[in-house]
This record gives sequence, C-alpha cells and structure tokens, in this order.
Amino acid sequence: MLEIKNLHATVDGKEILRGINLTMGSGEVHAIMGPNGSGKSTLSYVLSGRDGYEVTDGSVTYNGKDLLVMEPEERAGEGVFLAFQYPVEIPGVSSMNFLKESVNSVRKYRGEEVFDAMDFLKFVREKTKTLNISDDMLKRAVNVGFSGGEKKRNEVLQMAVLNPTLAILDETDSGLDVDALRIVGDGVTALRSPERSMLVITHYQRLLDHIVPDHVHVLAHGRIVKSGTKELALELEQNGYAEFASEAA
Amino acid sequence: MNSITPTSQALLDRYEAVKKNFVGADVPWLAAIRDESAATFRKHGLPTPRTEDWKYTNLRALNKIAFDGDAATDVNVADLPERAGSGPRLVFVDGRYRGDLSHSGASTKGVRCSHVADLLESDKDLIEASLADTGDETPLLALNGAFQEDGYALILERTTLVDELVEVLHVNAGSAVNQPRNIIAVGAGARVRLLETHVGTDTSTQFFNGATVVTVDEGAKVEHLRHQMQPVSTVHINTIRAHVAVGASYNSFVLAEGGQMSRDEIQVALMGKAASTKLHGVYLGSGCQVLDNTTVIRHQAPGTKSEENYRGALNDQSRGVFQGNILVQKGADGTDGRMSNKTILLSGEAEINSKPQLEIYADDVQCAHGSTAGELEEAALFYLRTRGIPEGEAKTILVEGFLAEVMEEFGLGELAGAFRARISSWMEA
Repeated sequence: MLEIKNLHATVDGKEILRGINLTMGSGEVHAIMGPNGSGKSTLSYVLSGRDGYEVTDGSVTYNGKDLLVMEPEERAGEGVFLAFQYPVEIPGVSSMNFLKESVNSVRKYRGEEVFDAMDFLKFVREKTKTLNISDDMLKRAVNVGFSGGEKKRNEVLQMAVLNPTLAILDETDSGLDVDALRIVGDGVTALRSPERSMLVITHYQRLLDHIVPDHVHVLAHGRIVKSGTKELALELEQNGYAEFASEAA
Repeated sequence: MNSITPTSQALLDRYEAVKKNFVGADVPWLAAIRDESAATFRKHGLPTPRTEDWKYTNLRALNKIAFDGDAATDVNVADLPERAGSGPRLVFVDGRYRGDLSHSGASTKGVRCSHVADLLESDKDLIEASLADTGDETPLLALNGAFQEDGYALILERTTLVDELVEVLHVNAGSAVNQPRNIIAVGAGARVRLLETHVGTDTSTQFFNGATVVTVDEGAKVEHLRHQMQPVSTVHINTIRAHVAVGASYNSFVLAEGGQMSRDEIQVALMGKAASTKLHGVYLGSGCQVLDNTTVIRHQAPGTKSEENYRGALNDQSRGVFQGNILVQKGADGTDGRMSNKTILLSGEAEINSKPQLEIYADDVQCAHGSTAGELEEAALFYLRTRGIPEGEAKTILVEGFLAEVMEEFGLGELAGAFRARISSWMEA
C-alpha cells in the first residue's frame, strides 16, 4: 500500500534523505530507528507534505496514488496521519472544535456525511473513554498548558477519530515518563488493525516494547542501511548506532 | 495666529453657517460652549502628521469629504441590525435621536436612558460639564464640541444596578458631518453595560466624529462595548474621556472593522485610589483601511490598575496603528499597568505601527508592555492541515483563535458568539 522509491529530499538546500526505499503492506507495523540527524523527522514531514521539505528525486505511492503531489489536507483525506513529536499549541481554539472541524473535513473529503454537534459528541465520547481522556481536556485550547503525556494522548485521540490507514508516529516516546509511555503505547496498540499500517519512528527501543513492530529498519545518513525483525531493535539497544555512524557518506 | 489647513477652515465656515440652526441654538449656555469649542479648534486646526499622536494616522481623507451634505431624511428600518438583547436601544440617525426607531426596554428605577437634546432644559447642571469638555484642547474633541447637537445620555443614580445590556445604534445614512456628544454618568456603586454599534448605508460618505464623556463614581462599574462597522467610505473618529473614582472601574472593548480611516481614542483618568481600567480590542483591516487604536491612561492615585490588550488581523494593504500611553503621576504609588498589542499580518503589504509609551513619576510601580507582529505560524497551519483541514479554513481557525483569546480574557458574555461570527465572516470575505 505504501511504496517509497529512491526518495531524495532537501531542507534549505541541504540533502537529508538520500535514496530511501521502503515498502509497507496493509496492517503492517514498521519501525524506523536511527541516530539524531539521520533524517527520521524529515521522512515524516516529507510523507505528510510540509512546506520547505523539497523532494528532489524518487517517488512515494500510496494505495496506487502519487502522494507527493497532494496537499497535506488531501493526504489526511487519503488516510495518512502524522502524530507529531512536538504537538503544536493552538491558543484560542478549543480541542473539541478542532476535532470536529478535523473529522468533518476528512469525512467530507471521503464523501461521507458530516457529523452534527450532537452526533459528534457521542462519537468522540466513545473514543475518549477508551483512551482515558477527560472531557475537561476537550474544553481546553488545543495542547495549551497540556503536559507531555496529555499532548501525546491527544495525538492518539486524533488518530482514533480520524481513523487513518497509515499512521506515522514521529518520536512519540519523546518527553514521556514510563507511565505515560505505557498509556500512549497501549493506546496505539489498541488502534492496530489489519486495515491500518503504522510507521513508528523512534530513537529508542523502549517504545517498541509497547508497540511491537513487524519490521525494523535502521536509518542513517538519509538511507535505510539495515532491515530486520523486532530483534534488530534489541540489538541496537545493546550496541547503539556507532556501527552505522562510521558509514558516513 | 496659526495658519490652519483649508479643510479646517471649511469646517469652521460650516460651523458659522449652520450654528443658528442647531438643536438648542436658543439655549445660551450651550451656544457659548459651542463657540468656545470652535475657538479652541480654531487655535489648533485638524492634526497633521507633524502632530505627535497623529504621526501614523493621516486625516487627509477628510479633504475629499464635503461638509455641507444633508442628513438623511429617512432610513430603511429593515437595514438596521437586530438588537443584541431585550434591553433598551437608542437609535440615532446621522446624529439625531429617533424615538420612533428606539426601544425603551423595561424601566429600571434610578436609570435615565435618554438623549442630550431632551435634557437641555431640565438637566443643565448634570450635563453641562460633559458637553464643555475639550480635554487638553484636543482638536477633534473641540470640533465635536462645536458641532454637537445630540447624543445619548446614560445616567445612573447611586447603587443602581442595570442587568440588561443597554444598546445604542448610530446610523450614518446621509452625507452630513455627524458629531454626537454622549454622556455616561454613573453614580457611586452603580453598574451598567453598554453596547454601541456604528453602522452606515453603503452610499454614505461621512465624517463621523463622536465623543463620549464618562464619569464613574466611587465603586461603580461601567462596561463599554463598541462595534464599529461603518462603510469603508467613512472617516470614523471616536474619542472617549473617562474619569474613574475610588475603587471604580471603566472597562472597554472595541471591535473595529469599518471605515476607510478609523480611530478609537480612549483617555482614562484613574483619579481615585484603586480605580481600574481594562481596555481591550480587536481590529480587522483589509483593502486600504487604516485602523487606529489610541489609548492614554493617567494613573493619578495609589493602587490604580490598568490592563490593555489589543489584537488585530490585517490583510491586503491595510494598516493598523496602536498607540498606548501610560502615565503614572507623582503619588500614584503601587500602580500596576500592563499593555499588549499583537497583530497577525495576513499579507506582505499589510503594516502595523505600534507605539507603547510609559512615563513614570511614582514609586513601587509595575508597568509592562509588549508588542508583536508577524505572519500566521507555519507549524500551526501545517498541524491543522495534517488533520485534514483545508488551508483557507485552517487560517480562519487560527486567526479566530488568536483574536478570541482577547475576547475571552475580557469576557463578552452574550456578545461573544456574535463577535466571533464577525471574525469568521471577515476571514471568509
């Protein structure tokens, strides 16, 4: 369903991605691990269409469609979701309104009926209950004054309501203590399904204790230098990334 | 003698030509106030960009306005905005009170919700000082003093509490110069909320130069809300002078979105111990509009507090001006004064001139000011778009959220929804 071929991308004229190849099947969970500066976040932004990340070569096909020509909102409509490493604070906009706008925009794109206020409330309540998110959090402005754990839980809630077919989790474990990590990890795991693939981007193995991947890839210097199963993640935890650092381009 | 501009002279000529026909021309004390005001105006003339507090806001648009236009004979009632609540609403068309269009609302004991022309004979003592006020010889206040014919008068006896929102609607319908002089006088311990709405028919090319003199006695509270949505053909100037006594408060919120050139100037004197003022506002500029918010706060007594928070969004080639002047006089120890102005520039050609000024002559004073201007945050826009929200809608949400913060901080009550809706429709226009 997702096919990345020879993907090259630059930021501010500097080449960060140098030929990534990756194929993901439906329902698969792939982890991308790598040291700082290897291009992990750049990959997530290129896939979600952020301005300033310029693709210079290669292709990304998603369910047979060219993902790279789409606007970020169109990609969301097509089922791509990015859980941010640092979720953005939006002062003055209540989380509830934000979620409703978001869900209805995506439903409109998919040709589904939009929710009215009452139906949406019912719909969102079901999701918040399973994720243990309080109504109070929904009344507050998006991510404003949220703790690290609340922010990440909010990302998982957005994922739950938008029901993507490809979820990209960018360093979801950063800024979380052990308990928060477990809550978020369990939340994500609950969303695993045969219709949903996940690309879990992380520096550390610890997140993968909670979200167990089918495949693990090592990203270094903008290229996937090694692929394997979940045991590869444990190896990396033991030996670090030193082995790949010496492979400088 | 100072040489004044042809436009200033045209205004004075107009004054001499029509003063005999003014409402209350036969009331000697009022005629004297008008003449004195005209003399004060003659001394200064209209401000020019060389005048310090008019550096960023040029009145040259007035050169194109004829001052001998007529007031409208009538106005289409269907064009008037609906009342925001069920309280009284006074309607003025081209500065003249229109009882037939107004609603008296339920009468509350101790409240007079009236108009100046109706009080000239009965209440001279109550209104004379307010009608004579020209500030520190403020030219536009003096001009207003010369041309004043009518205006609303909201007078509360001590400890009177008005729960309903009092409304005043100013309609510009003709091409006359419209210079109402309004009075808000609130007795000790009394409380009132007032909404003034400024609208106009699209054809009216007008010079609106209003003035309101506010006195808030000991422990009283006034909340003064304004929505300025006049046509872009209008030059709109509104000057407010508020005198706030011990423990009293004067709070103001203005939503400014109309006029080719608009200035909302508030001068507040915190005269008594622990007097306070909160001046908040939102401005929405597009096309070639110039929207000016000028505030002058004088802390004259100990423990006084002022809080200013203005935010705006500017599109196209529009320009915003924010001038905030906090003066802490000798003896006003323990003053707390805060001022903030933030602007989102939605186009590369939009501009904001922000000029905060602090003058402090007292001890133990806390004063702070901040001002920022910039584009919408790229990260926030991207965040919303990754959630499926199209770019245009995402911008609307962000601008509305940015401006809503200042409305929430002020607390607009039942008007919050309507004011927010104005922002959305402005963004979508």
